[in-house]
Amino acid sequence: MADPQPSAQVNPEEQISRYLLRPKLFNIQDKIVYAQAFNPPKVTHERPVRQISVYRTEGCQEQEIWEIGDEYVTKLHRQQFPVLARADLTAKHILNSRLQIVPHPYPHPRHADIEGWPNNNDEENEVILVYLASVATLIPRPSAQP
Amino acid sequence: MSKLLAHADHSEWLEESGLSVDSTLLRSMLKKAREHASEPVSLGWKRQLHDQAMEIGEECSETGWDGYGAAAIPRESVIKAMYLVHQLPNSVKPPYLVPSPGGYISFEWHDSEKRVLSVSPKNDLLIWASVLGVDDTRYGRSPSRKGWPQAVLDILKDHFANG
Repeated sequence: MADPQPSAQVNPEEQISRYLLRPKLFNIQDKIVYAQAFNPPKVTHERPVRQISVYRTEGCQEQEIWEIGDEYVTKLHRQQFPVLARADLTAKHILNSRLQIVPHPYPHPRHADIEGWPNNNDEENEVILVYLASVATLIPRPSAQP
Repeated sequence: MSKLLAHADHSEWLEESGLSVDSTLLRSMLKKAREHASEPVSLGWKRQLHDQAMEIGEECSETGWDGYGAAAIPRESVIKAMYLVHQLPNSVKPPYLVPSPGGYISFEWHDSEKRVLSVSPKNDLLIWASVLGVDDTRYGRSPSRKGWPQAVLDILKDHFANG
């Protein structure tokens, strides 16, 4: 079992996982995570900061990573979409994009948000998205394999 | 699915007010999309992409379709995507059509070398970016009414050509 309390400081070499809940955001056959899988939703009154939710999964067993997704993503979301796959990144790729990984240990100690997205620069945003897609690794849920 | 598009009565779409794109352009897009949808199945991947765009429109029509708070994808975004499909040269590889949490449909090309090109029709612009190598990142924007930007067509020709 991995340490449930990751360090306060994000290590550039640690693994970061983005859970993928909709099949149209990745392609198992071609092993692709689409760029849009990383695009944060628009800012709203309830969500004043552009951010995407990720988990710091360095050192976790595979089974544990999927369990975190089931318990803290699927079950806590309104639609309760099942976790179908995940996009694994190395923290340095996110930091290289001038984004921040902000630990936010709710609902789980390993939870974090990727913040610092450009607000008024669509091209810069698009560059970040394609870069993250180019370095991400798609990990399909074992039961989701064709 | 395309049959639905071909036979459906779209008059309500045309009459709808408050659309963010110019209504003349929208009419033209819809006319071309409708014409294309009634073309024979033998036209191949463009026909399939039309179907995919329709499917995305149906599946992502409500806020939060991605489970994370994505904006709904409105019908006008589906029509824009269809128009862009129609405008693509036949000589390029078919793109992946991807719903965006921003409320539009993006066009993405990926290859086995991890080269990625993404084109997003956002408002009345095409926003595009590509990673083609370690030191080869390109990006830009262009008005949607001008069709596919030449820089994007060049990348498609050089890296994502069909056959």
